[in-house]
Amino acid sequence: MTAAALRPRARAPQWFTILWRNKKARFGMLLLLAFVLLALLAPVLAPYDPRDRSFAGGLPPSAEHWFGTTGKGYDVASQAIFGARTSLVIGLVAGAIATTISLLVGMTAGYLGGMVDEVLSFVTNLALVVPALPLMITLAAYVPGGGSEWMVIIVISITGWAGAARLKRAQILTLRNREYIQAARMAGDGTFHVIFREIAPNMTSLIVVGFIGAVGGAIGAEAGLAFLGIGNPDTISWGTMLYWANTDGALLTGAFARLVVPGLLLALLTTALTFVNFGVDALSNPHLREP
Amino acid sequence: MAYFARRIGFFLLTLWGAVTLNFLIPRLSGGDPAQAILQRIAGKEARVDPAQLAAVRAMLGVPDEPLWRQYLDYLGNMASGNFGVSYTYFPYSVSEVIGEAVPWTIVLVGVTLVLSFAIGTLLGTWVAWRRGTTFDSVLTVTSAFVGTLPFFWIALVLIYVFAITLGWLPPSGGFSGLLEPAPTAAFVADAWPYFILPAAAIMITGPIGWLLGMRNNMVQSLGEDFARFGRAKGLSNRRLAIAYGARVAILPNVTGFALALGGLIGGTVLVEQTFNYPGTGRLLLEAVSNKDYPLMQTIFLFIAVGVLVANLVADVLYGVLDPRARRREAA
Amino acid sequence: MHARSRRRSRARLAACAAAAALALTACTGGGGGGGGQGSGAPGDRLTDEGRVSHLVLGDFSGQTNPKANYNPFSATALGPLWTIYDQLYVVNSYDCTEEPQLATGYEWTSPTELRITTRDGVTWNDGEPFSARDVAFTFNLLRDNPALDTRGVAPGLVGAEATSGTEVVLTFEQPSFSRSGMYLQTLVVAEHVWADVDDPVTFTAEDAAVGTGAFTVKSFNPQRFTVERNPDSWRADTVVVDEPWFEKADAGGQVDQLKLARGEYDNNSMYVPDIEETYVAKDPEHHHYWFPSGSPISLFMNLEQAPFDDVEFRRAISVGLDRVALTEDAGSGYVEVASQTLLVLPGQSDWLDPTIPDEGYLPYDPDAADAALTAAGYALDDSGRRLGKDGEPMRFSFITPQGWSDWTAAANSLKDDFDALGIQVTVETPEFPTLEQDRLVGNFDMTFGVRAGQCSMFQNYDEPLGSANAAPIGERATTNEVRWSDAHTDDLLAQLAGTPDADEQKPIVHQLQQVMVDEVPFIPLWYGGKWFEFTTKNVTGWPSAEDPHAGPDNQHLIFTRLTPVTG
Repeated sequence: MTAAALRPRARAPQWFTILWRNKKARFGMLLLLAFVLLALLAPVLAPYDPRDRSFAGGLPPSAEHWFGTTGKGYDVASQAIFGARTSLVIGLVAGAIATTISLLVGMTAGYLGGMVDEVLSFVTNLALVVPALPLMITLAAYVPGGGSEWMVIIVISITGWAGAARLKRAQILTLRNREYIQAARMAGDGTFHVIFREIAPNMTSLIVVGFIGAVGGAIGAEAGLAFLGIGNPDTISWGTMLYWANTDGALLTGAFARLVVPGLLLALLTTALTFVNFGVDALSNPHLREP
Repeated sequence: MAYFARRIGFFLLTLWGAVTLNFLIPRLSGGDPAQAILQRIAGKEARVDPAQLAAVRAMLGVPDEPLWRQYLDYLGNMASGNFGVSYTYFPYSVSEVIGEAVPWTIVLVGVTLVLSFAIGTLLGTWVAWRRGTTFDSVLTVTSAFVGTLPFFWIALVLIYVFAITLGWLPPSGGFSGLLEPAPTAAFVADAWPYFILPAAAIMITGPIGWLLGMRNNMVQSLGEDFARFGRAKGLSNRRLAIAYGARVAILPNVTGFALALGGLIGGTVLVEQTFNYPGTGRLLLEAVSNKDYPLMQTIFLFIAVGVLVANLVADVLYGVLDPRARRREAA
Repeated sequence: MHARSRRRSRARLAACAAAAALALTACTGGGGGGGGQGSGAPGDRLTDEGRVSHLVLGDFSGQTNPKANYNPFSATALGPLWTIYDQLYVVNSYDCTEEPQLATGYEWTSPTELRITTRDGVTWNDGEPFSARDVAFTFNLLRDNPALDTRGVAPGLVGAEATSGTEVVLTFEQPSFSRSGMYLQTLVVAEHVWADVDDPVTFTAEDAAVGTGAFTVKSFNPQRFTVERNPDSWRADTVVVDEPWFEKADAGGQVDQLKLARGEYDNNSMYVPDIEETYVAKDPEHHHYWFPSGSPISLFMNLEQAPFDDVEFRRAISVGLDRVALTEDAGSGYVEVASQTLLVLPGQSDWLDPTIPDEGYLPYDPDAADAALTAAGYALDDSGRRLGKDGEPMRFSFITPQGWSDWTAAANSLKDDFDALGIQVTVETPEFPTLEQDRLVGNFDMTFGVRAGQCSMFQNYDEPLGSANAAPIGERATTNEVRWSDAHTDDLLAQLAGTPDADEQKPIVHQLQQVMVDEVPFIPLWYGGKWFEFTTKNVTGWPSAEDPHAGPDNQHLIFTRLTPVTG
């Protein structure tokens, strides 16, 4: 009997069934799908070009402008629809980068132990200690291409990987002493082989939860940065919509739609991701599964 | 013993690393503090007089020394508590400026943190006990959704409804300006209405993390073997819940609480910025945008120390509360 | 079993709700913060002596949690120190006339000597008499402490000496008429207070805000700064306000706009989007505003880089920019298009060169721009991109400060104009200090710059065009960021510096305008707006478009020309 045959299979299609059965995860997946479609089909769904400023500013919701226009004359609905793209893209890319870093750092530290672990844990602790928001603000000034989306992505990734790295390291510590891993090592498998072919599959749910969490966090971070006015306020995203609503006097003139729409969309997207995560949680913890 | 010694060693090393990082990052981005201050004074569209610039630079005494020399000075100053003079608030010292802001943050964040923790943990326990019921689903789903609402959005909505439309509460600031800030009853009465909206904004999403965490942990611990054994033994459900379930489940939350306390000073930037609340979070934002190195460094330092101390306390607490951790570590 | 825990939790919830309700009811009475000054009725604030009890004014410090600093020369001084200290003269920023304050006359007895006559019978607010010695002391203080010299008075100043109780003589190294206005606008401090100060740079004068001004300090806290009328000041009878209150503004701006809309400010200088609807419409009878033009905001091109070093290119571009669209983007239509002559029109039209067509206002003619560019050797390729002389499609970056949303909008509008000409422009928004650094060392393609708009014509043209103010790329220029270096211009500037007489200066200034129009060293786009809102509920006499008797920043003039409303 080889180590491979004894290895518990965590990548069976069984996972989808479990997810789907979980009502929250199902709802989350559908909602996520809706957003993805919204982003992909934006040019078709949006009534106007989001950068079209030919309308009068500050119009209330009407038949021509479902949510009215912004203070500068953009159509709110079109901006909201195209904003989905920015949020999703930045969220996915930043989340992926942060997860990759956390994976590399956490797994290497946890598996190799010793000096490598000390150094990497030290770096992780450092990254946790420096406060995220001020660091982002400072970095935004330093990273070249000031104002572009890539800067936002880089900044969010740099500040967002540490927590997940800690978790992965902890998980690996518990896994590394399991029998099948020891068997693989005794069989002579190389370090990276053991980490990525033997251990990682068992950590799938943790990695996926981490990734989805990172995406959600990145979406929120982008919104927060945009709201503070960092990055280019002329990109079309839900965060910049809120920024403009705040500076254009939306509260004063009672243009509630400009405020509510981007906020709700942000919340719904993040909720979708969170719900999917509920389901993924259930994958690793049978106690949380729906009966 | 070794467990605690290692922790302390780690703490010191990370502190050094954080302090060094705090020194490097603001300086890496270049830019001229004098310019930042000046434009703030002159106003956005005004021409900045070169004479003013020269004067401000002379006033600040921005150093020409080589970086490593500045670094050594910086380390020495941090260790001796000589935090220098703020650029933005020249000629007032950094200690004085921070000292004024700290009480506001401590009150706002301290109170809401404790309340959030208490409410969240209690609700989480209750929900976990009723898991599987409609009550559980409704509460979990609602709180998950509410937890994803962007904080500043909630703040804006609150301001819009309560301050602008209804006019019940002041929309921003920490106090009215009719009285000087002082630890007197009269001032507290004056400042109290300004506390409500920021606290409410925090309290809407605050307990949720604790709630969901506690729920998940409890579900986990109630499912473990020792709980099953307890049930088999015939323990009452309540005893089971509290002594077996909650007591174990609360451990991560307790360490989480300690960590959150540590992040007190830095974690409030968004709150204070949106409500213009005179705490250290807003001060930090101001320092960063003004390239006020002395002020920025010191606040970063406090945050780093706070978080690291909290980490240390949390680890120690965990070691004390959960004997398994100590044993695990020794293994 | 769990009933008790449920009950306990319910009780807890109930308690919380009750507490919350109590809290709210406690607040409803007060109308929320701010002392509830609201607006009230006209004439409400009239005192028995026929003055107004208080006026609510805007922000008093750039800091978010202000600390007291009454040192008028400190860079972190409070804003409203004009209430406490006086200048020798006030230069009216609208029409540039000089109004005597602590000085009653002056004369350049030689190009390097300025003789000032000071006012008699003035006392400091602590009772000591004011004299020319205080003026001399002030100038020497600035000369000896460069960190205090925020006006640039000291360079070239040899010294100041009081030759009598009412006369001061300033001696300079070089002819200095061109900076006459600067010297005259210096605030004066008391010798008997400052002579004993150890370090004037860190002196905040907290317990010793001694000035000759119309008001004295009453109270200070980070939210509000209050001054009260000084009945013994030399013009106490023109002061009709007993207590100006300065209130801390809000970082977000929206709350402040709300207070403004409700009429809670008697006067403020804030940018308000859609002012007609958000401010004037709330009380059309009393709410007014006036936005006179300030310094022009110009398109700066790095003249050390191709193709910006080609005058044909610059001339072509100058008619390819839609300035009217810019005024809508940058200032919601409140600001005016700028003249290429660099003058602020119509305020400075006295100086205008009549031979320049259309007062220097350039048209928006993209076709002409296109033709001119092609004629100059910058043709379009097949995909519509304009090629530089090196055969490559032209691509530039435009930097504008992060967070200055109206400038970003303007930059994007310019980007569209360039797009229409086939030139690709990327707008970048680095943080302000980084951008400033880049601008000064010449690390930019294009950016905005704010120069001129002052009353001193020499300063207006010398700062952006004088070659002494430039520097090689990589070193910091003082004020000539575009790096314009031209012998003819320098010659004109030297001539201008040498004559104090306005009539002699005018022909020289005409020639400088011609340099602007013919050589296009940079392109003024729109005049920055000076925001100024006021209500006539408690006082009238504010400057306005109908009655521009002072500029919005001439508080010394404004606050001595108000009349109380009697209701």
